[in-house]
Amino acid sequence: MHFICDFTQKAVAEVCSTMFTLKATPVASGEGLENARAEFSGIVGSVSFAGKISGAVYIGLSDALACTLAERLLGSRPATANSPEVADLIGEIANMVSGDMKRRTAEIGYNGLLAPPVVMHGPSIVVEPREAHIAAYNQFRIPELNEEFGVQVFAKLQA
Amino acid sequence: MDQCVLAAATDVWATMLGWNLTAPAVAEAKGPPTSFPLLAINGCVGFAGNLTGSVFLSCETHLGERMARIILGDSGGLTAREVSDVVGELTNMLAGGCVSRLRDQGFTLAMSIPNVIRGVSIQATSRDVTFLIRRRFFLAGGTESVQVTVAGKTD
Repeated sequence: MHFICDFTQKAVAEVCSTMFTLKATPVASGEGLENARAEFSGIVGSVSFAGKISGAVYIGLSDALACTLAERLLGSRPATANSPEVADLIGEIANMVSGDMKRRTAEIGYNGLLAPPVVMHGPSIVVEPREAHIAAYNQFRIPELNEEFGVQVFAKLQA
Repeated sequence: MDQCVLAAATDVWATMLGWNLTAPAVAEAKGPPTSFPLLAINGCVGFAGNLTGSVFLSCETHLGERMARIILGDSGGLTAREVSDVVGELTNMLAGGCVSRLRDQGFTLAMSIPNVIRGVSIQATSRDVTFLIRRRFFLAGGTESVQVTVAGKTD
């Protein structure tokens, strides 16, 4: 397994546990650039990073899961996944996951600086990489909520 | 930043496509961050340093295909992947032009790699940013346009 895939799994598990006291278990993963693209529907939090490692992390959740996580954290369920508090939450999740990954990659010599999170919402969001040398996809399951979500990382290491 | 976007976009489209872009004197959005629409094809490049943020280049499919035909010199059928490659490369050059101009002003910046986002009715927001600039650049003499959005913050 590529270290990016491994670090993604560790970062997501850590963030879900810390933020929501939920267990997120990887149920499927894939690596490789051939036909690499990520397809999401709902809400996507992303963070770009630049430096010895460059790329971006995309975390895609359904509207229902995003609202459920917001309810768990805020105590009341947002009316829609379009609401600012949901965007804030998904941005924060993306920020924490990428921050955890940044710490881990820096420990092995690949430091990167993080850009502010971008949150996108739409019925169909397809992300295609350019210039990436690494593509890693992980699908996670949250058994307690009976929900799944996906995390895609496109990255390039500087020699 | 707005001047960097104006200069970089004008340069890139003139160099790569031989197109003269025109932009309204006033940006569509300039100031505090708001949510912004993405179009059918969107290139995105992040940058980080003592100024961090993201540059989005957005266009509709037919304009993306038109630009790809000119750059790739292909009059036949284009694949979606080829169009994405062209939009990604233009975004990379646009972001590079902005970053280069910002470095000249004393900012220390590193650029991420480009990704291309496709979709329908995508609404985007950038968190933790302090400024957002959105500009529409028109092809001279026409109504077709590309949209450039930059959201970011200074340390």
